[in-house]
Amino acid sequence: MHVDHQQAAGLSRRSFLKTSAMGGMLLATGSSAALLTGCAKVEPQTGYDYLRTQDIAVLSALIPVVLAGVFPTDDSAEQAKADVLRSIDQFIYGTGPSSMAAIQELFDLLSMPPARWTLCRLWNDWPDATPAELEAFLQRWKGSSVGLLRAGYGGLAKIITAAWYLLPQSWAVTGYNAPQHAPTPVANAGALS
Amino acid sequence: MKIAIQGVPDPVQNGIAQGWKVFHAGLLTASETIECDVVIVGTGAGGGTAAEILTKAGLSVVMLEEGPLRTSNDFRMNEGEAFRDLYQEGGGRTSNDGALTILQGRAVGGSTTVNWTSSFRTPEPTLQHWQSVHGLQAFTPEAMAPWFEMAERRVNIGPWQVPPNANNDVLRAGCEQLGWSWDSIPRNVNGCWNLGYCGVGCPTNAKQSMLVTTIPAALTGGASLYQRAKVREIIMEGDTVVGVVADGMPEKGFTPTGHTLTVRARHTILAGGAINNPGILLRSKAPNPHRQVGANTTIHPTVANFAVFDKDIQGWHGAPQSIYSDHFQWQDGATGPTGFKLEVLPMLPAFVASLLGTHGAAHAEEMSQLGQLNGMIALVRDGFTEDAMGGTVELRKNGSPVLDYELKSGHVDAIRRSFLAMSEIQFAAGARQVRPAQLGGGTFTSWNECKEAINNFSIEKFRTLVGSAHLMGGCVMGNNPKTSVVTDQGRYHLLDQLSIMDGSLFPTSIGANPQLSIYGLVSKLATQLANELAPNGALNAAVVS
Repeated sequence: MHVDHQQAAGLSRRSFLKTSAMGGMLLATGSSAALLTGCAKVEPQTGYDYLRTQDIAVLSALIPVVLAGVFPTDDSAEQAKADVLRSIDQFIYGTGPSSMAAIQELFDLLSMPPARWTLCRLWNDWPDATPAELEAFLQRWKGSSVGLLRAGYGGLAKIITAAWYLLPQSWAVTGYNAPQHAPTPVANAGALS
Repeated sequence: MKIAIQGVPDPVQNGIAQGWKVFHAGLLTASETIECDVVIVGTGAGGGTAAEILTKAGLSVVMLEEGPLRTSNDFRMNEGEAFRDLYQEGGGRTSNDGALTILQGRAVGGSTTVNWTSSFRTPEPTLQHWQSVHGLQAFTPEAMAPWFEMAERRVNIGPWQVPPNANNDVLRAGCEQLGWSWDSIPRNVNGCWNLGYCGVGCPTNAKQSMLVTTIPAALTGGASLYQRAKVREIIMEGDTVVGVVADGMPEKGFTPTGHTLTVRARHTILAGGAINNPGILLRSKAPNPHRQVGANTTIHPTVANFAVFDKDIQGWHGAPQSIYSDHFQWQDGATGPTGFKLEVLPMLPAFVASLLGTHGAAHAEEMSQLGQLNGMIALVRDGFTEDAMGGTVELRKNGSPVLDYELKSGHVDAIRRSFLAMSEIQFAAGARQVRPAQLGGGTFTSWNECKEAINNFSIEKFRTLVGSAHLMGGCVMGNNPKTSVVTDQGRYHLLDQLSIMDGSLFPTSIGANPQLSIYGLVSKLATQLANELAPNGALNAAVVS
């Protein structure tokens, strides 16, 4: 998994950024991000295959806002957040080097204070941002005339919502009821037709 | 009521127990070279079909599959496991800019292991267009009919007699109300339990995918299968292709194990799909003077419309696709304003959640009404006119293939008309609330407001949510090497002993879910190849059971 990460990081870091009209400006920011983030920060946080500490900080702030209305607000919230983070981690890790690199660019950008101030209009660091500030950030990116920012919104919303609804604990509100499955031992299987 | 799936024999695991030659390239402890008559890269609709035909002709066949072997015992109707194991790039494959979501299978059986069973013959206007515009005389509706019949028998394609689930019934009821044409979808199933989990691996083996039909037949006939064998390149000696080199891939992660599998063969068939085939050819630096490899890749760009009803829909139950409408598909012929096919989506929670394009209260509201939600889709018929051409597959710096696809005026116009059509159908079927999947596009309770809003939509990437589950072209057939990659026999124009046999052959999109088009076309091409390689039909009689 370590090797995969280095491979991902070593790829073209431009894929996420290259199509936007603001690409030049963002690429400059992104390059600084690449320079500022040393090798150490490329390592996933212990217990994860993909997510780094700074990615987890961004996601931890956004999860309750993106999932507002269905995410627990009681004592179970911390455990639920850990479950969603693990689900996101495994989903992204399953996409392979190219997607991992593109998503990493987005997280690099979000983790950089200058980008957070200018592009997200978030003055406080992610853990300190209020739900209202985070909601305003999501709405701004969603409605932006800049394709890249809408892409960032779409990516964050998709990753977080899909990861949550992969978890059985999310299903009660939807009415969805998954069937049970019992594999049949091969020794007992009928003869091959 | 909790449905339980039990007592279903696993024909593949059982076959392996009885001695099928099934191997895991990721478990090789040293690099290996093997020989055979025909090596087939990819085990989907094209590769599976070719494998059975060539094996039955007496040829020794080796099948290579990049993805894992997963079988009914593994199919636990779990979306996360299915994305990870059964889809290209873990369900996260996109176009190069991330704008288009691409759903494509990557497991033994390819996309047939995860498709929604919709089975249409290639529409006649498409075949006629190939004839008149692309000069392909060998694929007239009359010439293709026996091959479609053969394929329909092979995978049990027939009318679906069970009433549609409520999600599909919205499409029927709306069209009926508006006087628009609709019909039921033929399916490739045998003893279907009507569960609704086609897209995550059929747990009952009712779906007659390659995994439970042609591949078992080929293996019973003596063919070999390697899972987790990711083909790096073809081997060229002069102008002749003599096999392929594959990297063994681990069960977890994307880093090759370091041990390769080299397969030397009299003939090589690429059947890895419309993105991976061009990837292999481009990595191999196969002769490509006119830059046709990867060109004309069509995808049926697909957009969605969601609607809330006052009644239960529970679109996760039942055959995911059983009703379609071609009312807008051929209205002005193949080359008039771009047409589209209307179908519905399976409504599994994570899949739907990922498609809504919302968050927070709006997302929560729709997901809490998942049981009353209808999800309709329009599949745009690209590749027929200049204003709606396909895209191009290119290589990333790391050597992996990726699709470049632009939305042109013809696509945009068709998408707008499809949003209008889907919304009108949903309102006509009694929807309380309708929402095209367009960022910030709005939610509507009246058709007039909805119509006005759609007419003012800015249809563009990252605002309009566009995806594809039908990857076609990129190695297209034709008579002229300047405008195509292979002949009408599927043979690479500029190399000997190399065939393409899958959906990447199609010179345009199909205008329908493509699996039966692939089965029919590849049945024809593989039979021609078998006659050429094994004229007596029994080259290796010993391996034919």
